[in-house]
Amino acid sequence: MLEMQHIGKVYRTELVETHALRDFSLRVNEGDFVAVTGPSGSGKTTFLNIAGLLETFGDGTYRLDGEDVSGLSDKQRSRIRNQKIGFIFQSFNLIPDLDVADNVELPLRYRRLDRGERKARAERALELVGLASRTRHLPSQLSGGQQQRVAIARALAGEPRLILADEPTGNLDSLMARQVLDLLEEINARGTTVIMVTHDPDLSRRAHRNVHVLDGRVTDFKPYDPVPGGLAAGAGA
Amino acid sequence: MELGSILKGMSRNWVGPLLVALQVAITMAVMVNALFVIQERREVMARPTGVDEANLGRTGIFAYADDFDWTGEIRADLEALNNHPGVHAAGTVNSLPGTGSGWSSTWLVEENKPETSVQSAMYLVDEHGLETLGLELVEGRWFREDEIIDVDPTGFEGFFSGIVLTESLANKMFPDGALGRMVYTESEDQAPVVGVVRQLAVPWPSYLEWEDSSLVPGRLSGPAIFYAVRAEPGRLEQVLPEVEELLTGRASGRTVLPPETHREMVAEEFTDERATVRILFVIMVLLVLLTGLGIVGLASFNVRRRTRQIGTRRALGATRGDILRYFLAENAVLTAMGLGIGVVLTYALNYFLADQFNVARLPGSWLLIGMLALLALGQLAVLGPARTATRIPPAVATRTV
Amino acid sequence: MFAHHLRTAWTSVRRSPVLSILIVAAIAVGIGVSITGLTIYHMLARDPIPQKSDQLFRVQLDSWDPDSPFFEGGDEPSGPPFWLTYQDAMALLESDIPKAHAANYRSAAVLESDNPSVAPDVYGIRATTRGFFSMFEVPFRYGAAWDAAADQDGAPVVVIGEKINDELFGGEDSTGRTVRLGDDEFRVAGVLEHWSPHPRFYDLNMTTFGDPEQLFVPMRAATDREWAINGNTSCWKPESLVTFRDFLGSECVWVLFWAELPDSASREAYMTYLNGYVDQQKAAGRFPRPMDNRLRSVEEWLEHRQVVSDDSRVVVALAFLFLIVCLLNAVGLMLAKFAGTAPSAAIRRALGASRGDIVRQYLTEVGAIGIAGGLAGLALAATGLWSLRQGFEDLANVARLDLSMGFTAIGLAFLAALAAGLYPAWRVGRAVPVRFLKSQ
Repeated sequence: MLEMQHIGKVYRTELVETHALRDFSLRVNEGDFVAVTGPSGSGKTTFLNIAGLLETFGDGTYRLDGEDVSGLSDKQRSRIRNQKIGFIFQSFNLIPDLDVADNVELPLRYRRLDRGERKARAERALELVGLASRTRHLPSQLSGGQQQRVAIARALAGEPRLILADEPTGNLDSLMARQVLDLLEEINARGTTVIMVTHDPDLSRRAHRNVHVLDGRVTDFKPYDPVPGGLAAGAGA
Repeated sequence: MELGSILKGMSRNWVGPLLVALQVAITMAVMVNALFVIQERREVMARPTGVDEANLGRTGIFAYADDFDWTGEIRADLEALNNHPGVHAAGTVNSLPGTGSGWSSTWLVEENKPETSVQSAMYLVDEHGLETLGLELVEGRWFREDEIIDVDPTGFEGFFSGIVLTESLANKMFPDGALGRMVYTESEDQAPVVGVVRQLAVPWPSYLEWEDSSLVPGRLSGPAIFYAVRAEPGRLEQVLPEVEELLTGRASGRTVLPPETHREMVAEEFTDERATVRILFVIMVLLVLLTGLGIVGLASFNVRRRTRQIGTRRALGATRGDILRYFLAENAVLTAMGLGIGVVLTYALNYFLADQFNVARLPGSWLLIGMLALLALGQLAVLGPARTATRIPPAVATRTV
Repeated sequence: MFAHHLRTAWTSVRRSPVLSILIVAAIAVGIGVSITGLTIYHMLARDPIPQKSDQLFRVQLDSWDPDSPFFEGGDEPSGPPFWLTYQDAMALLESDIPKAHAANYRSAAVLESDNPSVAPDVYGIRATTRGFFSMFEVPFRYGAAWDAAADQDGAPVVVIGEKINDELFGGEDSTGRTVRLGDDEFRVAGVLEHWSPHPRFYDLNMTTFGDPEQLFVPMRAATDREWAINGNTSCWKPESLVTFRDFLGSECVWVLFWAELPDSASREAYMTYLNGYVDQQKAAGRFPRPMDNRLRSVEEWLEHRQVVSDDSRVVVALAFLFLIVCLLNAVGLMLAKFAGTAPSAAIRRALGASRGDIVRQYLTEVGAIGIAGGLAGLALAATGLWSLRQGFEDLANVARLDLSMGFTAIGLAFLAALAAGLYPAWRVGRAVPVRFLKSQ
């Protein structure tokens, strides 16, 4: 699904150069559920931005779904984001002026789908997250957990191959966090690849694979743990 | 594209958009009406007078010496003027078209029938008049030197041997040919029409019958008289001071009136109109700038307020073009709302101006042009902030607050 | 408390200088444009002689053509002619009902002096009877108006303006000395102080806002010399006009006539006298139209002659709409400015300030901004009017700020700023304290 080789990313200001990623290599297979962990400033978010084509990178190669994306134009990258990737952000990033349904339909609009198709898909996605009854609410009228579920519905509506989640439970209490994680697992179970950035070991334990990032490098793999006890441990924490 | 969500967004943050929409509305009303008044005034000022405006000037003399030889000195003045290099022709006149003051006369088409009277401007001209004013004689002849008589505005003896009419006046008085017909006065004088000229405006800019002028062979009997001086093309500015010097040095017992170009005289007569045009123009330009800035301000504010939202949209797959179009569309909706109110305001203002003051009714095409212009202004104004918005990187979405 | 409000306002202005400057600029541009337009209107509509404008009357008699009414510009008849015939003016001078009266006309002559440095030049002359000076309160520096005898016999005497006195006589008391007018010696009877009523209400024929003549001679002295009429002359009757004497005896109208009637009793008496005079003339075969005599006060006369042009009213109307757009702009800017200060307002609320305190605080700031905008606007208006004076000679006496317009500008800016600031201030005052405090 995703293959990064020797990726380097340097942020330059007038005074300093920061190597956010160096010689970063990672391969994620189709259908994986990967947790990316690491302390703040380790390069997790940079990895996520590059993986999601939100940022370009300097060295190395990156193949997404078999396609080399290093030389693509802004417009082509927008199209790939729109069609293959679903984003879930830590602070939800719902558009405050749009109601729930409009928020979920937004990526479909950018795909130029017609109105009927958009509505149908948005409805399905909202049903999946259990918010089908709230379509005309504004984000400000929802709880944090509900907002994040809308955001997940928005990420799912485009039926992406890859879900990128950035600390999806960072702004939620533990009960809501668990609901969100349940949803991600459910999505993954249907065959969608999920990459989740988190600093919470309890969450990462529920992924098939853990990738630890330190100083812009992948330092540790934790292979897929087939024992479903991880689930119980996470819930109990 | 996202009309519905744009409208919803506006309805939730309505104060800013409302302010700008009202600005657009009033701007349209003021702009269209101001332009219309400017256009009306300019049309009045641009009416041709029939003389060679670009090359015509006027000076004159005012005699005070008791023993001043009026007839002889004028003849000598005209000879000197007509021989001066750069002068095309010079002759005596009582006034010039469009300059504000002159004489009018009542002519009768039929003898002793006051009901056949026609009002017209009356110019006293001499044998040089046709060349001096640069008139186009379409029929008949011009006056000879021996026809010029002395005229005092408060009374004189005798009458003119002939009269020249403008085409406009000739058609009004004698629709089936004016040449040779007799023109009568209420005091039972008469003169034949000896010629017809294409065009000559009256002296008074506000007079309704702009081209109803007549010319008679006469010369003021003192103590003051005007000389019209027509320069060779392009040499007026150079010739006029020379002419003043020439006349001043030529004889004593009189002063020379400071020369003016015909254009200056007409412009002075139109002071009110020109001042109005200038003030309205400044108001309009400032207003358009101000409204443009208002739109820029609101849009910039919106871009700053929506930075994260724009980043999110980009992350969800919006291209830069999508973002640009979003802001352009939002502005178009806003401007259109303003223009909706603007149409009503524009008509109301025009109705008020037409009702109260000397302003005509606005043709519908002006409204359409005004709307298009403001729509273009809005799109232009929002372009800057919208481009800033397109430069917001999608990675903004993953930034934590 | 007000001092505290002012101090806080100053801090707030300094915290957001760009927005504050933009708000001041928006108000300044609005005030600049509207005061420019308003000044021209104000000067046009000004009462040129406020102390007695309701006691001075322009006299009109309808001596015009029986077949068609008098027209002077426009599409509608203008009522009785604006001017009198010479014979009627002379006859009215016999009445002793008015406190003062004057028949007059504008002429021109060449002036020569013994001073060799002053070349002969053409000057406008007011030929008038002596009542002109007392009636219009024309101030004298030296000497006085000519005596009644000079009105009768047309003695060659002259009253000169200060400008000519400065040029010819170096500003000295020149009474008793002579100037040459049109080849005749005229003795100086008096010298005027500066006198320049705007609009020049007594004669609106030429440029309404021109300066008055610098030379005044008895009307009789001018007509005896057959000095030309530099104003309107309108004739309707077919008469044989060969000599100037024919002209003076004709039905041509050209003489301006003013009368000073201090109270309603004298007004009524004078009107009765005018009607009696016209009846008497009708009996003699003159005045063929229905009787229509008018006494118009200065104000009515200026209105009748439409001194305030339609264009100037259009400009005022559009200039005020412009001001409204500026204020809408200012409201938007104030919203942006105050939005940034909402948290500090919330802290004040939490410390016990009432909503009114907050609103008053902001209105103090807005009022101060308004006054700054007014001052800047006044400077803009002065610049605008200056550029109009440069561009248009005829507006030299019109496009000028006076004290009242200065106060109007500041007051208008202050009120406009308050009006614009009311909603933004109210909105901040309404802000819920808790919301802002929590997010800090």
